[in-house]
Amino acid sequence: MALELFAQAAVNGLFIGFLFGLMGLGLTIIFGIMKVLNIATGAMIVLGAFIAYWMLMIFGINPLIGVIIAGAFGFIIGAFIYQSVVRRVVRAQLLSSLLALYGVMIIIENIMMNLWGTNPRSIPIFYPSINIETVAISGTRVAVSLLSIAVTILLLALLRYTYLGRIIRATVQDWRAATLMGVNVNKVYTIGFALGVAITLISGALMAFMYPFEPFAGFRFTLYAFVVVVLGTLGNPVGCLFAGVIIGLVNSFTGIYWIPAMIPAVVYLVLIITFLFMPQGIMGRRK
Amino acid sequence: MLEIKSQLGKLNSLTLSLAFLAIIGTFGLLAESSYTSYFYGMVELLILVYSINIITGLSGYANFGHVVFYGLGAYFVAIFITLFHPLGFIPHTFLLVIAAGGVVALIALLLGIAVLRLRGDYFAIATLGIVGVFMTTISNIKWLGEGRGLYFIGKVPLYDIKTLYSYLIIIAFAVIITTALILRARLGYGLRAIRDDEDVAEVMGVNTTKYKILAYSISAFFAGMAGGVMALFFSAAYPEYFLMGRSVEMFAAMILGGIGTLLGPLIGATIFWMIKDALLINFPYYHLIFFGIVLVALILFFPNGILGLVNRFLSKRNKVLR
Repeated sequence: MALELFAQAAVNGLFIGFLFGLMGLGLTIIFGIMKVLNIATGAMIVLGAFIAYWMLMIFGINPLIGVIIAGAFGFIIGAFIYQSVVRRVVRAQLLSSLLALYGVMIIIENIMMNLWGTNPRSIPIFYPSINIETVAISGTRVAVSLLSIAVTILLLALLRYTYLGRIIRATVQDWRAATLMGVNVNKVYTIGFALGVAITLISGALMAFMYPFEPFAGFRFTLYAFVVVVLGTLGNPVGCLFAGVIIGLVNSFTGIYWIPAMIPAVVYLVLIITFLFMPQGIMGRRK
Repeated sequence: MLEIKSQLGKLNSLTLSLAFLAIIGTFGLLAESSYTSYFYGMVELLILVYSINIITGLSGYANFGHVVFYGLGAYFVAIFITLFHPLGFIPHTFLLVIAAGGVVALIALLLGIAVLRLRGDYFAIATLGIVGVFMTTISNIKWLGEGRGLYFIGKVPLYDIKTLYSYLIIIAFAVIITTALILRARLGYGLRAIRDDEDVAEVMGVNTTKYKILAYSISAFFAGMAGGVMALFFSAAYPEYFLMGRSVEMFAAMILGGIGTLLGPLIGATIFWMIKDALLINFPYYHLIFFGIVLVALILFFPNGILGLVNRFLSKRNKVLR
């Protein structure tokens, strides 16, 4: 019995972990490219969830396609937020960009509240679970995990094999040199920010398959994304996925062996412990 | 010569802010209770803005966890009264409020030793994490009433709002004078050096860690006291005290007035409170959207706040307000 419970917790944690990794990926991409911390991540995750939800409820669109629509929408508002807000603070003091995005977070959350109310909602779609011996593997979680991994691989391929990816990497290395080489840094930043927000909204749309959400549910996810990003080394996409799995495991083991209500506290404790003992993250090199 | 001028400038701001606070204070005390409650909220916000200004305004460290100190102050008072009421030992409540500040400052000192080694983004993330840890933990402890909060109605003599308002006025005077002293002391110069460039400050011999922890702890002291008064006001401490909404108000008011100045938090808190009240009455659902837009617009276009605008005119006459 004890072993079965352990196996179940491990499987649950593994298959939620990839989603957490994806939540951190949007944040880490933006930070890696322009050293701006998107504190509005949680609000954007919830926005993605709402888009997938309304696509299903109003137009009857399969949420798996809703995920792509959420991504496209995220790209557009990401570009808009960059051009209207972030562009002006990207080289300013750190406090400015943090507070500006904090303002963006308040605006997004309250617009959602006024449009859609504060009732918790969730996407009523379940995929049959797969049973191996006594361990049940939730089909929804497998689908979400596969999609999360696919998005991560697509992003890595984009960064590695395309021309756009090459100029993004060049800008990350040295934006002044990139400018001298004829790269339009402003354009790269716009695309980078929009990509990050698109991934965040995609992760939100996928989150909606598993968790109920309401406009102010974002705070918890912001912290999850932060923990993942810090644990996986700021700016490292692959580390994000690994850290996501670790956090997923922490999440499910706390839920099964302790009280589910304490999950957030334990996750943040992991964050603080990481800060104190391993600030470089799992993919970082020690100084 | 320049030194003397800047000293004079600071003196001006100090007199101005103390005089203004005295006016609000007497007006609130003499007016009807309904007006007092309006000023009560204003002065409470003023204390919080001044206290966060000491760490975030002066050193540039984005502290999203300032509400934690406010909440912990409230919980300290509630726990103390719950524990010691059966024994019949209840000190004067103002002493209790000061003790709340002291305990919270001590907690901040310990927290600061841990998190203030982090810089910039990492610090901001860690402070958000601290809010999460405290809020979830407190709302899951059965003895603290979980999500319902810890009540102590009837265990201390009930206070009318004017007594608690006078507590707040005393704390507000204290926080303004403390800020003025810090701005003139080595601590203030050190913190501003850290804001401009921490590495350079360290090389120049500023003990950055010590200064940051000290500022963090002082700011927690005043926030904790404000929280303690809040607990007395409601005769209870709720997990809602840890909500992020208060942080929004603090940051918006601080930037509105002018970051890292003596007069800024006063201007910011006062004007913010008036705008908030008017908006809350007229547009109860949309006022936060408006705040978000104001916050973003202020940072993008007026990063130095109202005081910065005022100084733009004053500087033509070789005067400057801080």
